[in-house]
Amino acid sequence: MKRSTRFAVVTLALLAVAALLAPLLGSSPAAIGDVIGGRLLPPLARDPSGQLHALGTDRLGRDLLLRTLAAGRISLAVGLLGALVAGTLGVVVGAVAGWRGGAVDRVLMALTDALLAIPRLVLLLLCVALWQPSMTTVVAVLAATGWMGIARLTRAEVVTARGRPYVDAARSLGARSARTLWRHVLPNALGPAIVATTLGVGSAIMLESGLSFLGLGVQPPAASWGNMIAAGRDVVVSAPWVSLIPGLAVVVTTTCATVLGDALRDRLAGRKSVR
Amino acid sequence: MSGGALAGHVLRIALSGLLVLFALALPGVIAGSVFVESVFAWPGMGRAMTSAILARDLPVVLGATVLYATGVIGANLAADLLLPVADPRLR
Repeated sequence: MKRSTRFAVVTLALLAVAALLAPLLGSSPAAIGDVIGGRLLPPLARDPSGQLHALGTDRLGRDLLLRTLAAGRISLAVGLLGALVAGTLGVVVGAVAGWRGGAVDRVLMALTDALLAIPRLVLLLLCVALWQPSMTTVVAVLAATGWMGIARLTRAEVVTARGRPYVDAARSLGARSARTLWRHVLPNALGPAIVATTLGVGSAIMLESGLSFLGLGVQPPAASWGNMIAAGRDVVVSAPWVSLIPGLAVVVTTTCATVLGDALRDRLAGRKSVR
Repeated sequence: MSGGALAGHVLRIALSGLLVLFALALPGVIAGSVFVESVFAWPGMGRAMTSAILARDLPVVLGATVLYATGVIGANLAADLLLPVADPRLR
């Protein structure tokens, strides 16, 4: 394992564990803060009650370290879930299209291409416009807008695997069509889809932050990195740490997810180009 | 190798890959202007779209989406048409 990969894995694991453990600290005085005297404290400052804030406080006196971790819970969950559901959907659509061929293939791929013609961010905004913004909506919308690339990758893999001798062998031994696809074709066609899904986690987290930043994603008082950045926007000159810290969290997480995806690509897909 | 040969022969062939990448990246960059426009309060299409979403003005949202999609298809078409110009082997 390369050093950068190990670094990415360790960082992501630490972030995930810290985010999972954050609620244990959630009801402590540090999370609630001294609203009167403890607003917009810089990192490593103490509020009037003597409580240390390692990363400072925001405009309501909430501890930024705890809030960033609590936001990480939502951001990581939304990113992971969004990318996973999108990946599954893409694999199903791609596998059915590539395996069935004919009219099914043409209809599914026409739909995929039509959706690919709209930039993902615009499609996201369109979907958000149709439903009330909430965490569930964001996951559904990320899944609905992220499956097209993976569907095309999987379809191409399934089409090449379909012509292999082991498929003929399975068929001549009497395996049903669905079993051949599930047991023999899909395991050999899944590599690029797994890589694309891993790379998709980073972009899902980015898009979630973007939506929340615009006020169309996770709604305050629930914390997400995006709406924390947006909340610090007004004070970015006088108290830059309020939006810098969640911004840094987004950068670190997406970079690690991308490094991880690249490492997976080297292992699984044999350096094929994956978009 | 002289500079002229480099520019005329090597760079020209190297350009074709860049052209495709450019066409694929352009729509994402244009759509990304949504954030820039909202931060700096520029009256652009992205900002029109976000304010339309907040006002639940769906016809405007749909119109902006169609315009963005037209931009993507236009960029792809332009790249496809320019590719044989940059690399005559593809003609």
